[in-house]
Amino acid sequence: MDVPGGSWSRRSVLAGAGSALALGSGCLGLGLSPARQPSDWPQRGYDAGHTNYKTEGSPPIEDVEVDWRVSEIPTVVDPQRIWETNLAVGNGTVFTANWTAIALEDGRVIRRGGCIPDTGFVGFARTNAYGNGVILSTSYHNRDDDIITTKEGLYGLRPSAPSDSGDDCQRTVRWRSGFPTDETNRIAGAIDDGSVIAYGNRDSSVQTLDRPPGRVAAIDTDDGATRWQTDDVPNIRNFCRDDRSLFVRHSTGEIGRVLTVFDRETGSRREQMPIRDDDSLRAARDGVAYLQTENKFGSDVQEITLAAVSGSDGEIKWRTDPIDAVGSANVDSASDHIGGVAVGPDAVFTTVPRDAWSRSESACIALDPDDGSVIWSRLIPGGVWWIAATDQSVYISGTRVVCLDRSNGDVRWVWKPEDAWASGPPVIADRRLLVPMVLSGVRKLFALIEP
Amino acid sequence: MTADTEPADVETASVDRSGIGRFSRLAPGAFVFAGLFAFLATYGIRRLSVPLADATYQHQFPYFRFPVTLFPHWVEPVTLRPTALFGLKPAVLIATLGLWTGAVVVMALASGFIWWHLEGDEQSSGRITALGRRFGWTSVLAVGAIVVTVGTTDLLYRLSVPRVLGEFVLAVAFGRAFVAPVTIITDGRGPIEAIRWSNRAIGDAGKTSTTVGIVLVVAFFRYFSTVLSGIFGSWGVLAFSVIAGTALLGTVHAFAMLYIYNQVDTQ
Repeated sequence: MDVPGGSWSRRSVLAGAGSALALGSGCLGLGLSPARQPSDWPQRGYDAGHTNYKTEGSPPIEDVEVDWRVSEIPTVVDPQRIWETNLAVGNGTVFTANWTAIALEDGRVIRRGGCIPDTGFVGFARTNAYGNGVILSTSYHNRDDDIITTKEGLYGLRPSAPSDSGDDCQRTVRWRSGFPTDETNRIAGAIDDGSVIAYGNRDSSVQTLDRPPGRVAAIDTDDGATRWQTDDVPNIRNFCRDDRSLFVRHSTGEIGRVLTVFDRETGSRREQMPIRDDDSLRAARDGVAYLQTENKFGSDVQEITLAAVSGSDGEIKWRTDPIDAVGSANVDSASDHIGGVAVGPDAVFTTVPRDAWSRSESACIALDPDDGSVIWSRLIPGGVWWIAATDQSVYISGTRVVCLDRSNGDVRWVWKPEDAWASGPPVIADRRLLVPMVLSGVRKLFALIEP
Repeated sequence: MTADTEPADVETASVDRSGIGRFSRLAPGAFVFAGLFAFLATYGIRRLSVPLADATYQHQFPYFRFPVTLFPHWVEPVTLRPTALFGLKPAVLIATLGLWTGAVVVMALASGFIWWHLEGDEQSSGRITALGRRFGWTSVLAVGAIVVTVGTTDLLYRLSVPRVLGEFVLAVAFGRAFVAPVTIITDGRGPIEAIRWSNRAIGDAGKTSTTVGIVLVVAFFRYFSTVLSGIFGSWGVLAFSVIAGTALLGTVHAFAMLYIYNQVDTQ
């Protein structure tokens, strides 16, 4: 191409155009939005490690009162399904499992119900491209010719959405995971740094090249693109990630139940270690995965343990029986599971709930993360299951909500509405403690605050 | 000839053997360039972290969900849906729309360049302002037409029967306006006059069913040519699908428009 002062080759023109497009689009100074707030939950990095531990915010410590309450809030009550979120707080809004949106400051219901089925809700994620973030869901209601069906896959949905599944839910869909072609991810969680971990296969309804079963991928929350993916991770049960690793509990035909450690940035496989069949992944922090024993129904083994596994070498650092730690005479020996786990930088907190029909007490225990030794333990009347912790307090909920001093387990306050029990873990949202409860058969969300 | 005068005295030439030869040499190159630009625009939008929807043949059911266009359009294994635009940060939104509109305009300019090179009247030759006006109007019409396409397909996507009817009505409208872009370039008509002229000329020549058929067939094959990208799903295959598919189908579409223009214009 002849131009004044010289000539340009076709290749140089094309290269220049490509570079201009790429550089121009990359120079807009994008950052994750909306800005982080102390009210966000799950907390740091959206608690991709399921630590239930938060350093930001000032939830009630000395005393408590109800700030507001909202009725008819569905919640997921299975503690094993840790990738399913009961509540997410982002951009000053509380989102529930069925996408009811509540203003955090005053409990005003912005929108009730809507496009996401109860089991599809994954969480709220910040994004680079959108100012108001995105709601993640593994399904949504779709209306086609006035017939409402459920579309499966991992979707990024507009937070301001229709209030009724009869409305146009498809118009809220910003993306479906996978690029250039859609992927059918059926499980997702561990939202962190603008990505979410997803598990699934390519859409089986269309003709695609064969792939080994089980694909773990990091999906960009901006646009649903796949940042990295790793095939051949079959039969995933659950996963967590901390600031270094992704821990995946799954099973293989040769080894059986295993815990596989991936690099969180690249998805490369670092370690794989066999674990017990009844070990369940509960949390991960600072390169350590925490496993709890999960007695199978009808199993002869009546053992409850919490174990810490190093992600760097696959070695079990410690395994502790919490009932032994507090004395089996005090805690119902028929308890078959650990209620909740919260993992802080220098302590691991767990609850051992009593059996529902037992008169014995529940317990909350603080363990040393280095060796599993008991720092303190506290017996609590009634049943408690769920737990969350901060730098000052430990909050547990069940038939009552209890605040314990984090350093020694002393009870700071107890809040107990009649005929109520918690239907999900407590959520720390800046000054408030959000507690989903069932009260006289009605599911409610309580916001507790320091008077 | 300017947009204000009737082009009745313009001597038009049919696409003779030498014209076809020149067309076959020019068109693929122009549409390779346009396809490459469309791919770079796609890449640029991805760099902005803006979602692009999978629009490949085998991922859409029923299979008649393909948008008809007035102008030659690039092959789109992935596409920008209006729902992805709500809530974008302003800078991202402007850049995204700029890239996407740029690709639409480049496609229109590539078509116009070929039509002008083969059929442009002498009044436009050497006059930058006249030529610029013609290409400008072509770009405006291209953007307007694609807005109509996106609006129709997006508004009616949910309802099967209205969607099919809407697509068909749009195909008829585009079939009647089929040679409007060509006459803007070759005869210097404005867009409104070009659409009126095309509507009248196509009707008088009894070519409506032919042009509607071409609009539908080209749209279907542009849609069908995304099948490779749907199966393999990689950036390389995506680039190949966009560039090669656009070169092939853009050439066919532009040639069909010029061919019909010459047929109705001589009548």
